[in-house]
Amino acid sequence: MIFLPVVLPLLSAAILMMLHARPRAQRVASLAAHGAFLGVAVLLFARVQGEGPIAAAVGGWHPPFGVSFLADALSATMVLLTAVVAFPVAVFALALADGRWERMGYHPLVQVMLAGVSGAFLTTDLFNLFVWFEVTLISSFVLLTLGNRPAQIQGGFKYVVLNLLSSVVFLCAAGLLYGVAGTLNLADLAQRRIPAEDLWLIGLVGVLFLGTFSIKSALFPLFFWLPAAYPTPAAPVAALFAGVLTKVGVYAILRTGSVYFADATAVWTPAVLALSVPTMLVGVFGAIVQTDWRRILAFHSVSQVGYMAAAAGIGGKAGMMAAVLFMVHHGLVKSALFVAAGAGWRLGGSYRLDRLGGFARSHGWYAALFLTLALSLAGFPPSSGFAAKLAAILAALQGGYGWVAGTMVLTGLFTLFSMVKIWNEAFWKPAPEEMRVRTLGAGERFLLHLPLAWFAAAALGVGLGWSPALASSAKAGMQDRDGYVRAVLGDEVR
Amino acid sequence: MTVEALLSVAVGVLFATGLYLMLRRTIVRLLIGLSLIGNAANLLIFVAASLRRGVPPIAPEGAAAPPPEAADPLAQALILTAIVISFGVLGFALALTDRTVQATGTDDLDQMTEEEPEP
Amino acid sequence: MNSLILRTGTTFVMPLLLVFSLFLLIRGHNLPGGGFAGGLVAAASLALYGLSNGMNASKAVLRVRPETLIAAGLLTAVVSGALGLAVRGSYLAPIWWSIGSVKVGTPILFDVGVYLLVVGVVLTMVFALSAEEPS
Repeated sequence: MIFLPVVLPLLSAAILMMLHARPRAQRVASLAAHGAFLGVAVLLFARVQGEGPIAAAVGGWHPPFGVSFLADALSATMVLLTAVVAFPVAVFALALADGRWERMGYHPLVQVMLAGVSGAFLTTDLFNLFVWFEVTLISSFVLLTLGNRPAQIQGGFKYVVLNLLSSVVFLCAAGLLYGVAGTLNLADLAQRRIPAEDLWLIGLVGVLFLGTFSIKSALFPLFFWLPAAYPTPAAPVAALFAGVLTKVGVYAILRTGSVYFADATAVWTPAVLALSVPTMLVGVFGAIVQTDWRRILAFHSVSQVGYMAAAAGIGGKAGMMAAVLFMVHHGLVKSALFVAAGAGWRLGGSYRLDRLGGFARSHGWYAALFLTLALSLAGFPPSSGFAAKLAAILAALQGGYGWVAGTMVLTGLFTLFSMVKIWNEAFWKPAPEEMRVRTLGAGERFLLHLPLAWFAAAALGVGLGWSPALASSAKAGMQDRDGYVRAVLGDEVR
Repeated sequence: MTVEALLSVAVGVLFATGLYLMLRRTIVRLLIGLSLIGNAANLLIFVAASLRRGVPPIAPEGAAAPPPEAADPLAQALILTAIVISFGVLGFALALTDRTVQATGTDDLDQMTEEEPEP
Repeated sequence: MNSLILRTGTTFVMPLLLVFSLFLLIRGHNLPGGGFAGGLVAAASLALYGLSNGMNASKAVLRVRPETLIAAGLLTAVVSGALGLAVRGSYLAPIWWSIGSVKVGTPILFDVGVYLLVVGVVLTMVFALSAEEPS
């Protein structure tokens, strides 16, 4: 059961690659594969909520010797989020499909990426985490440069170089940690006693881990690859990346922080905050000056990653809950906004806001859905953004970080400003002379609106139903280090 | 002991050389630097997991475990995996570099600002 | 590259390399070798053929597209792991049969998958890098 979120997409990838010469069959198969993945993720989530964490060892080699997988509430939620984001994006891809990037292997690569992301969320072994990172990265490199436009290739090059560097840093950290502790299983690490004279090495390892995860999730000093790369690829690729990929780095910060560095919060929390608070501000200020729809969204992604990382760094029960809620919120809403930008490009032929306009009058439903989602990103009740921001601010206040909470409120204001800018330019102002609105068939209109409606419903659902969801997550033992160790190393390895 | 010291120095030299090359403006030097740094990381794992001579980690006939002074097989497995991965990634990076130079007509990293929007 | 010596040499060396790659694949059962090394040797032999006779000739010798090899390899490897999941309840758990004194099992199937995958991936890279214009 627990292996299916990894095995199933890999299998789908192989089958989709076989269907290479038949685009129509490939599209149907891709949709079916996404549906199956969603089904598996829902089943896994339901089982974890009902029966508690599920652990299993690859090849029957029990931990700490073999690689083991664990699905607790956090992992299952992240896998579910991935599937809930990937499915409507696949529908959206059908609306835009013209065969060009499909010939270059779009469909199988998406499946490989989903397998990598699921593996990263489920594994308990740090080196295995590295391997899943690489699986995700290699597929995302190719997805990012599908189409070979010069801007794509240059944005992709920055993405490749910085992510390769962060992989090397991760490798060094894992190697040093193995040299000191003799194991890389996260649960086994958490219960090893490190001799006092080696503790400085653990500190070094912590710095390296934080460095690599902060590059991967685009935190403050090394975030420039994200606004360079995310506005360039094909529209569905950008939506998928914005929703899923940034979360992997934050998840890694959250997991290592809560399991391995749980005793070192006195150092860990200020370090994470020092990276994440500037991230919030720099991202949101960067967005203000942009005039390209997707670049605004990309800079906002940077800013929002700052929120998530700050909540994850504050830690404790409240901080972890806030971080998870924020990841769910951002995964849904930011993918949706990238889908909306792609739809605007399909309708109006550009991503530049000065060349768009008048959607509010010409496409009412589209405008209404965009408004719902944009207000959710800005944090209006009763949407998911309100719930997530409230939880993050409360967690900061509870932890005694008033200035972090203040920064969060300030950043929220500027987010609203950017969203209003997109609304005013693309939707409210009259369409500029040179803009030629494309008229779409009923089928394509449906395929453009369905993903947006799906995301809007999910965002509102999370916003309205967040407190019960949080309570049940707490029951499944999301933040508990000892629970994690017991679940991985205990006798009931299934 | 001396071998470990020598290898540590080698790791340092590889890192320094790689980093220097990565800070150059030519795209190919950047790539060579990246691969050097990757190899430095592999060597670092090798040294960090302690070096042992001449005892392969294979359990003798009838014994349940290899002798205690055997080399650590896990570190070597880690390095092998990392080498395979970096091989694949480097292959992709090479192809991408090729495309980049073809698309931009320059190998100077400072001139690659295409993805910035025109002012 | 147009060199008579290289072309003639390749005609003799390439079959040897292909046989050697299969030897490496099977030897990997208990000794150093295996799907990865074998696949690299096989891909190197085809790349050599491409260097001497042109990449199009190499593609013709391969008959199938490298992407198909990747797909077949991935499918073989994933299925060999899934057999373990179905029979022994754990992904990649090995299942062994004895044929005489030789033990055959799903790990060999996995290695064959790796072999095909490596040949496909390396040849994809070689063909992409040797292309004059981006497709």
